[in-house]
Amino acid sequence: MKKLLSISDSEEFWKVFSEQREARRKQLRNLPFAKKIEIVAKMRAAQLSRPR
Amino acid sequence: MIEALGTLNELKRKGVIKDYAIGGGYALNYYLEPVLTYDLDIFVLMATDKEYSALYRYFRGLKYQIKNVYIILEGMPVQFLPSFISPLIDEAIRRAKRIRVKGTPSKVITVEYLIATLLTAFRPKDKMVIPHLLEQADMRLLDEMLGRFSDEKTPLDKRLGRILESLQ
Repeated sequence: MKKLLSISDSEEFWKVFSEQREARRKQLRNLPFAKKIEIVAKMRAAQLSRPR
Repeated sequence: MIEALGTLNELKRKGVIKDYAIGGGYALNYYLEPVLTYDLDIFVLMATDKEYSALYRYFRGLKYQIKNVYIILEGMPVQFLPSFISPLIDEAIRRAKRIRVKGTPSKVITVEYLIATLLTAFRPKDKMVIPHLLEQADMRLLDEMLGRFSDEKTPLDKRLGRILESLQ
């Protein structure tokens, strides 16, 4: 994260940003299914509790 | 969601359904990173619409809440997609992968069948996730399947070809 904020070149910024996002996605993909279900349940609860 | 799987297993034990597999958004969550999913799509092995009606009768009899196409199982809206509507769904259930979720046994459709169902729906959100799923797919198996399930109305193989072209 720190590295990302210190980049001034926009091309380099988006390259590092994409790499970090892909790494985070990969990490989340490898979570056990039960853990993913927990995360989705939290997302649903947060979404449903929002005022409409 | 896990409680809903427990209820589905009970249905199987009681013979109300022959077999089932998780499809749709939760199958996607199984293979990829978690995404917000409101309902649980269950592919259910059924030969006739009589069996399908019997399933809804069963839940009505037990006073389960039914909203449109959804049956609310332990707080989770569940949509049942019967296998008689499509040979692809039928095969997806029969070849589904056995899993355990916190000790609860279940089945999830394989990544190749998930891709095929997404190519069938082919909405913008489906097109977006297919490239990520392809990383986990057996391409030879997928090509063979898409060849069998493609027709003029739903050219799954051509749709996949378009996605692959867009990635180059």
